[in-house]
Amino acid sequence: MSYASVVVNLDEIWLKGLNRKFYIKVLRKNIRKTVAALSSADFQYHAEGPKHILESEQGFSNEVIEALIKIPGINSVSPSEKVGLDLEEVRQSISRYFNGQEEMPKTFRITTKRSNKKFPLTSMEVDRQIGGWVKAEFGIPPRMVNPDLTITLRIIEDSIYVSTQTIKAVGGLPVGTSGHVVCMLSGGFDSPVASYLLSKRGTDQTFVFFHAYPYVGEEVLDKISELTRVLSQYQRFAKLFIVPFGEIQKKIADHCKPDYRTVLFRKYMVKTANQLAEKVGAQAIVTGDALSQVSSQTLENMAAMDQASDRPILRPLIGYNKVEIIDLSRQIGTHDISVQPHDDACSLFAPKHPVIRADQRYCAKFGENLGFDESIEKALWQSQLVYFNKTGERNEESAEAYFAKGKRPNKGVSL
Amino acid sequence: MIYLDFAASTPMVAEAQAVLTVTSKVDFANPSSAHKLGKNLMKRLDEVRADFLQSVNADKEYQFYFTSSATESNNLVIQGLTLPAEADYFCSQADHPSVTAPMGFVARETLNKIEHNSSGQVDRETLLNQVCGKSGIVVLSHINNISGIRTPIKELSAQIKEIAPKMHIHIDGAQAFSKFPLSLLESGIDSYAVSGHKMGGPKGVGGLFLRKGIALRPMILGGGHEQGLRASTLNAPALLAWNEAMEAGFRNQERHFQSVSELKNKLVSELQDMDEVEAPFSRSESSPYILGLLVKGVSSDIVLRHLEMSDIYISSSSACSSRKKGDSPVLAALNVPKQRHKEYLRISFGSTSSEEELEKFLSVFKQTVAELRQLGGRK
Repeated sequence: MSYASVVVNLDEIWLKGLNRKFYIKVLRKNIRKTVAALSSADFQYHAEGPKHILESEQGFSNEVIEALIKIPGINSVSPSEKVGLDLEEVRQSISRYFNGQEEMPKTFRITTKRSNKKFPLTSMEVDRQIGGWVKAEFGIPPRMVNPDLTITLRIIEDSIYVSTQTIKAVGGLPVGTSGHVVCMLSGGFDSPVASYLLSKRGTDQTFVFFHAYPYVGEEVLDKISELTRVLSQYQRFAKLFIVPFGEIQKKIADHCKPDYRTVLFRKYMVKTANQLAEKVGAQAIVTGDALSQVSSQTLENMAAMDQASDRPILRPLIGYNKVEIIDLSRQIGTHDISVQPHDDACSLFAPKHPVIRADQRYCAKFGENLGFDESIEKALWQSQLVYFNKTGERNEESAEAYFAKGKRPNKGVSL
Repeated sequence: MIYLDFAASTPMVAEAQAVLTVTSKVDFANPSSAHKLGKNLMKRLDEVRADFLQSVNADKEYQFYFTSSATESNNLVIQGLTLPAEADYFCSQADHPSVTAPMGFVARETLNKIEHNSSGQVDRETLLNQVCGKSGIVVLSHINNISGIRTPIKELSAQIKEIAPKMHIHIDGAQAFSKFPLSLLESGIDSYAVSGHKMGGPKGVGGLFLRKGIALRPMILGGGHEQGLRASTLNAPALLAWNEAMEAGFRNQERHFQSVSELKNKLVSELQDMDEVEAPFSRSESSPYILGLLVKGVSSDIVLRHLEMSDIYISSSSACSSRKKGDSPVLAALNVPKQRHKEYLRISFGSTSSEEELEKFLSVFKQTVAELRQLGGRK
């Protein structure tokens, strides 16, 4: 099904004051790019106050609608039919809708929203007139609370937009307005959800996965790729660094107390993420930690991680329960990918009794004079980059080639 | 590169490669065509057929049919035999999936599992008790592809036929054909499946020895090829190449058997020095071409990847089931304890495998195992 017009309702941006214009500019660009990537037809985009309207003669497919509701900054999306400032045209539009339906709704209501104050009738008057007509013409009883069908009439400038559904979108702030973060991904449920939550708040993200080959196989890379592809729908585009970490893990395991392996792996992952952040211009690290979900997530162990990081570590899931995280993962489309089993951080290394309250000093001192900085730099240069664009198309590049291009780090912008 | 996964597939032997290079260029006609090109080609293929039959003394009592693979041959027999409702089905869960899958499909719950003793050999007594007086089909693997264990098929089929004369006996010979002397003459074996790419031949060709007079329902219908048993244009170039590989195999059979046995024995004795390494099937009679190992406390996947990093290739389970994680029904049937399944490795040799290769393998293998044991050591 295609819709000729889509009314896009903005979210929090509308609360912004002086810099509202900037947010709108970024959002507008994000929307334009998304629609252009998925639809070869021409379309027009105009803003009428807090309503942005997309119009196309050929209409917008479900694919476009699906993509729009994943753009942070948009509160909801209403596919609509545009008619003139004439109630007769409104009635015709509604008739067309009902004639196309197999089943009639049991109850309905009309909701009129009017931003054109010059329109002769008030919203309530329009509600009454059209409502009365629908009741008479189609025999459907009106119902104010929780009706089966809500027909929304938006009177904007010199048109009325008639829509029968308003689809909830991600909300939040447009990607590109809150800065740039490095998001640590594992194959589990948590980190993708953490990424989603940060996308909602408008951050650009560079993803990083630490690959412990040969202690784990390569199948996990397919999983991580798929997760990144899904997460890229909430971003402007996605860039994933696959960092070879097997050597570093072995080096850690060769020198540390076995109980500290997991905590120290995390420490060096955070160090590497910081190094990467330096190269790409990111200002914070994101992880999927939830307080005490697993042994490395006690307060003491997280403190050890924090200690190793120059940049703030953001943990959006810190207060979430596992069940809540899993529910969210279903909602954002990562559940079925995360649920697939894979070798994670490999049982070979897992200590029988991982330390629960890490000794901060031991963690801080560990690794001095073992050349980890060089190992980390080397691992970053040996990484593989995977890109996903808006159409889900995938491209690869070596990190070496990427760094050699001397790209200016993308600091994003935060206000 | 050091390739030690011959049981999964083999590079073509020089003779076969040479022939294929030529025939794939010039022998492109359809052997079933009515013109001279087709007819000549078909004549040559009939000669190939005769060669195969002669190689195992089967020319009097058997027909030889060309298929695409041993998997197909196994399926043809198992799915194609018309058996009465009371028929019984026997096979081992250690057999190749191309046996266990169709057997499971046709027999459903009535499948009788052939048991193995603690050394992994077929438990002869139990089997004979199971089949006594019954009719249906028994499938045996000449050489088991995971363990390398050899089943004395000629002896066993004779014994089975004595107490169950109506039983059809089918052998999966994929790992054995051309490597071991075999005479089908006056044996109780009713059908024997063979594979091209397991013996230095090309991929995409296989065969089935079938006792004359036994009818099978065809799986592939069409142009009536192979006397109606298996439609599809014959892959003449590949079959001609396979013929070369087969002849080379039989010609060099003894010599290769000797040299590979020496290699395997040397390897086993070196490995015996390592406490954590065990060759669980070495007590049984097994093919010198296949060696199974259990490495205590180390996941075979990781060993494989380490070896791979040194360009050395071995296997941890049948290539067909390597995607699945966890327990192996094959190893379970061979009485390997469940918790050790992920420690199982298979090394398989070819006639071109050399001492140098084995030494290199040993050195990387020993180092890898030592490192990994140390890492996982506290468990």
